[in-house]
Amino acid sequence: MGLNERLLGDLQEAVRKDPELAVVGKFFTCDLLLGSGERHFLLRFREGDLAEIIPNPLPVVPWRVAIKAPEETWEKFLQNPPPPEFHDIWAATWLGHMTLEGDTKVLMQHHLAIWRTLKLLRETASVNFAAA
Amino acid sequence: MGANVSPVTGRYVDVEVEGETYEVFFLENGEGIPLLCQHTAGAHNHQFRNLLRDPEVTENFRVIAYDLPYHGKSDPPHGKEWWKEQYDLTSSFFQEFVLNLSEALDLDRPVFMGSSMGGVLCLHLARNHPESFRALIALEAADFTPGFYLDWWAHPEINDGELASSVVEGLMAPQTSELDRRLTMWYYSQAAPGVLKGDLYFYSAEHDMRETIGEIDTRKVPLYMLTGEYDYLSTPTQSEATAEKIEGAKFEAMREIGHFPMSENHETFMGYVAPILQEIRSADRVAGSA
Repeated sequence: MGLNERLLGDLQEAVRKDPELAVVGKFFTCDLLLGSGERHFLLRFREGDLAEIIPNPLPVVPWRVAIKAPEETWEKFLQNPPPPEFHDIWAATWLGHMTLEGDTKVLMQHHLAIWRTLKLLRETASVNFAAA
Repeated sequence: MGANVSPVTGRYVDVEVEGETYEVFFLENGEGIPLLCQHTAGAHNHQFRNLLRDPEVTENFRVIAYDLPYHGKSDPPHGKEWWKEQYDLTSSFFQEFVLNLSEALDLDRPVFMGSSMGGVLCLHLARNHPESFRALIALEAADFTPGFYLDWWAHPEINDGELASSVVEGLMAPQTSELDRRLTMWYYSQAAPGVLKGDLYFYSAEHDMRETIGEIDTRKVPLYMLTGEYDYLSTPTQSEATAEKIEGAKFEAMREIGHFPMSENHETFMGYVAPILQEIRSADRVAGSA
């Protein structure tokens, strides 16, 4: 299982409850696209809040940074603990399992907040998996 | 002293390198064979905090973890206008520094251990200065480690400390405790601007031993290589391929460890490094009795 609407909906709640993003997210305003195989999700962050999630946005809808990978890569990325090579977006990108697209500078500017968001995504996936 | 006073002490020593004097800060604890410990790029000697306090190590080794100039409590050179130059660490400076630090501390052929850029330095020291060391322990090293000499580490529109700490977190194993993870990230948020990038000049721009790695003669100095399975900059596969080009080099992959073994998970790391330290001690006793 890669990314899906339920998981990202739960991520929205996790982002809103996260004390760390409350500390570091003040300037986290960014449109981030996550691509899981053919499925895309646009995450609109506003001042640290995950304000809006748009599943499969039309191609003309803009974003600043995209993280794209096959579903199998996200599946490994979301395991807890994840296997080597799939535990981090740099690791997966470096070793050819994932791509980073868009404005690299924007990714670097918001890296800490994006990193934290993806940690929450893994934690959320673990909780969902345990509950399933 | 009180029960909560650590046996680890911190002092400064003057070290001459390329005609300049550096006031070098080092932490030390223990007695016996000197063990010099080199931190990773853009970090400082607290990465060895657990090794410095482990009686299993310090009862037989004098552990010395220093801050490379420009890092931690080791200032840039007081006699030079460093702010007018780009800080880019070079192989020649790095090697001369370690040799002269060893001499300044009057060490007799220390064991040298380093991670990442320190691990890579082991390969340079093994090839160029084998007579100066009892053994070399290269953590997270390979003969070629390109790609990380990036302007993003020192950019006015980017918070370099936040970027560095959250990027290096991805070099750690997920099994790392939250405290060790956060401390390792913290050290990466403490570097002065441009220092991480400058260190990575050595690691990712200058370092390329693909043609010369076979010149290392392990009959002159034993070379041990350890690499964590979660390291994507020098993967176990790459480190092993490097070791295979060096006759007599010993390699082992470490499970549940990434790019910062000593700082991520001391207990797991000791499972791999303690037998090496024991082997070095045994070889030393044999040599001493000869």
